[in-house]
Amino acid sequence: MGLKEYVVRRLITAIPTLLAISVITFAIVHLAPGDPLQFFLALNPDTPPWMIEFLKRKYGLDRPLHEQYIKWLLMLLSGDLGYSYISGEPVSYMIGVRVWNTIKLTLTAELIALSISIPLGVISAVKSNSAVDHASRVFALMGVSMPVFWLGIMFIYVFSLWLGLFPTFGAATTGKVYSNIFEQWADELWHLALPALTLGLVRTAFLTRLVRSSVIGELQMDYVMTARMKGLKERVVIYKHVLRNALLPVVTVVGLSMGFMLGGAVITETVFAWPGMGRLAWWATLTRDYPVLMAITVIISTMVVLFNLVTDIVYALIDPRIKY
Amino acid sequence: MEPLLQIRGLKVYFYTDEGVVHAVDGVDLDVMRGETLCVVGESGCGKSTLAYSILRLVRPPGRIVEGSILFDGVDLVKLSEEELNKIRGRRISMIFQDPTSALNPVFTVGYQVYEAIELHQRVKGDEAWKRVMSMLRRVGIPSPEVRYRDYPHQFSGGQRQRIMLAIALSCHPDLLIADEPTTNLDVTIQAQVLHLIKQLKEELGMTVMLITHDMGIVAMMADRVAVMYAGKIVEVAPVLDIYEKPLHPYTQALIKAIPLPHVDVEELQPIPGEVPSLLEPPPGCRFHPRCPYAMDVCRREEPPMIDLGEGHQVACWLHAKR
Amino acid sequence: MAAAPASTLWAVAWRRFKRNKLSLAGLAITVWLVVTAILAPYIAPYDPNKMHWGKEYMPPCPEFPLGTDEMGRDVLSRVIWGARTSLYVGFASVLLIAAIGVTVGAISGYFGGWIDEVLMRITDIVLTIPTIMLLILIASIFQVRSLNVIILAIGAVSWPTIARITRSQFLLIKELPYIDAARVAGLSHPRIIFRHILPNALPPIIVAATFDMASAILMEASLSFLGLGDPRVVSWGQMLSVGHTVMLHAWWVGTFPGLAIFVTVLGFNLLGDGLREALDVAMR
Repeated sequence: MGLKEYVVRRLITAIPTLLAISVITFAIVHLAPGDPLQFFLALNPDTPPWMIEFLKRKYGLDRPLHEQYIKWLLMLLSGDLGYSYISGEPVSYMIGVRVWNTIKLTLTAELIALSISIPLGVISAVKSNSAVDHASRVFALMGVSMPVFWLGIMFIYVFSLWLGLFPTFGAATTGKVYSNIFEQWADELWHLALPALTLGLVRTAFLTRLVRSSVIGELQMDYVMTARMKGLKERVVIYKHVLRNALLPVVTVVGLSMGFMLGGAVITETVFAWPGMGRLAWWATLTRDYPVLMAITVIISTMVVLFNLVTDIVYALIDPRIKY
Repeated sequence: MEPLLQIRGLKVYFYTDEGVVHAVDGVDLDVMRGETLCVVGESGCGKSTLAYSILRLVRPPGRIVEGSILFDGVDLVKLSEEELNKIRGRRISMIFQDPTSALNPVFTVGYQVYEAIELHQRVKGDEAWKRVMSMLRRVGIPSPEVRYRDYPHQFSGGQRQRIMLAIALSCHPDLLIADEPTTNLDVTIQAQVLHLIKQLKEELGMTVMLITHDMGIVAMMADRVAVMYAGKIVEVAPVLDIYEKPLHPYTQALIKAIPLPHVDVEELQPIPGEVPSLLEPPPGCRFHPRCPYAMDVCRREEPPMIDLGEGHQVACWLHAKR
Repeated sequence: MAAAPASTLWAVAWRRFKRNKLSLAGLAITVWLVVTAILAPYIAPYDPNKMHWGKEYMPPCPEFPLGTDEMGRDVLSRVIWGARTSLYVGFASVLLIAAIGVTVGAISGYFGGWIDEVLMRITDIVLTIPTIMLLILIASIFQVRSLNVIILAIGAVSWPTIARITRSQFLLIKELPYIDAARVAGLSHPRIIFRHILPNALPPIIVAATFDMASAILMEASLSFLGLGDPRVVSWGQMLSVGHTVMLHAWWVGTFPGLAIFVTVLGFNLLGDGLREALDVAMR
């Protein structure tokens, strides 16, 4: 089948990209001035020289760079992400317990964004220059200019601290014992609401602009006339004929900007003390915990590469004009 | 002959930032049952807008400001959107200049025909698909039972216009409006598509309103011709009269501008002057700035439509009996 | 497009720009910010770092119009001085981004071939790594995170967009007849690139640079908020990162710097939108 070959071909072309990402990540950390252990040593100034030697050997820092890189790469490939400089825990464990939280946050936010931005963008485009359109454009413009952390802070202030409706931090109530699964879900959803809304709204603004301009472009096409000429209801013309075409570029952008979403998640997680990879990355940065930081960079980048891949495949499936 | 379509006092204006464009500015026109009427004029004279306004397909900022369009006694201008949708595609259909963009790129061609049949003929499934196949075969798509699953981009330009015809004619409409249907096609393909339209018109007993700027197409297709200039109809006549005794100076200029095989290109006479702006049309007769016979009255007063009998009408002061 | 004399192009652009009230608002906001930043020492009521002992967490009052923070520093003065930091980072980053982006894009588009292949591949890879991850990775390796380090980091992660735009412009323009003429006349490559192609490629680059300005300011604020900024300068992001912990009893500490970031970014986005419309640049 053509499709299978296409997927395999795209997978193969992704390999050099992933390798390059690992090289860049490694190079930034290891070619930088200063010692990867510096933060640890700053925290433990009394470390005896033999201990430093031991640590260097343990983390392979006494080997030549290319050897270190190859060893690190092989470890990555075997799923062994090494140990944290700070806590000594296996990095794969630290990331493993948090990765689901990040995915949950990101996908919920994306879902919120899509379910608001598509109808809003369509209405805005169809009734272009109406009051609804102006309002949604102002909303979108403000949204794309809004620092995600400030929005998060405002939400916490208004909805959590002031109105007391939502919790201020975490992904679940600490130490709570659930009597049944629904209670657990409710609690998790309750914690998820504000961070997902924060990340989602900023994203909504961006997507609304995109959907609007895409629909406006499609409305100029003659096939819209053909659909109307047939006697189809305007609702069918818009939501079947126009939207099907207008969403094609949206699919691409949604897929390609997943990295942007994951980036937004780093900040959102920090504001809401959300126990995900982003917050871990932030913490690792502050403590210069390089094994953790490098692993997260590579994992998130890999997720982005895979997302791009899926986007290309989905696009090829839904746009009959694309040959694969 | 009785009229199938009667357009009276139609005005379609575009409200743009630069001002109001008077695209169609008081048009009276009849389309007789069973005939092929060609509307000719230079690009930008409002003939396409006239065609689009019949099915109320004019895009904003364009709007029908005034007038009536009587189809079989019903005023299309006054119909509700819902009632109009029962006429669109079933009793009046339209095909467009660019068949490539007129077909939806993400639906199979078969489905695009199916959609119209399902909507208007109360059939679904196999029976409807049978009709899709027969329609595609009728417009000359080879092996439709295989190709109905293909998408528009997999067909040539001429085939796409054939598919558009299949969509438009799937419910056997009384009237087909064709807006420059062959302008974007090769000359040989043009002739094939025009022949197809002619043939289907006979088979289905349709009335055809054909919009074109090409006097060659007019000669090939028309029973009657309406000449449009700057938002107004300036002359209406049976096709032979248009070629043999054109009365309006503009029609005469159009005829002179036809490239003939035995005439040198240098002898071709382009129409002097520029197409007037429809933002501020000239006062009086709109053709007077380009007219070699322009008189005082032409600059002051708009000429009335003068009926000279035998279906020949002209809006020109030269032919007014004062 | 290339044949139009530059002066009329800009005159037409300005006429179109003027018509849109939102664009004018964007211009007004940005000019106001630049003036504020330049005149900061004269218009700020206090030294932004002066600690007014015993006047910590003062709510807005005549003495301190926007209140004071946890060390008794005047919030208004700090917001005004913060404009300096933000705009300095913004302008410097955009210069760096444009320098890298235009160079890469111009070389790629002008010479084509394997150079183009390699440069575009690198561009794609940088685009793949999430900006904020790359940013914090770079910020984390420096002992001292001065503003220049931050500018460097922002430049290192943000140049791909302008590189791509420049490349596609060059691909279009280098096919025009007058460039052939320049080549036949024996002009050197740099001369053709900088004197003959670049000026005509500018409109979309300027539009992208304006949007990059907004995002560079947002990036600096994000880094500072995350505690990865330059601790020695007054920065809105940093003020916010302190402010958000005391939101409940001293809302003014975080609200005003947050508002300042929002208005600044909005201003440059409006300006970018206006320029895009005025210069008739199609995005994507």
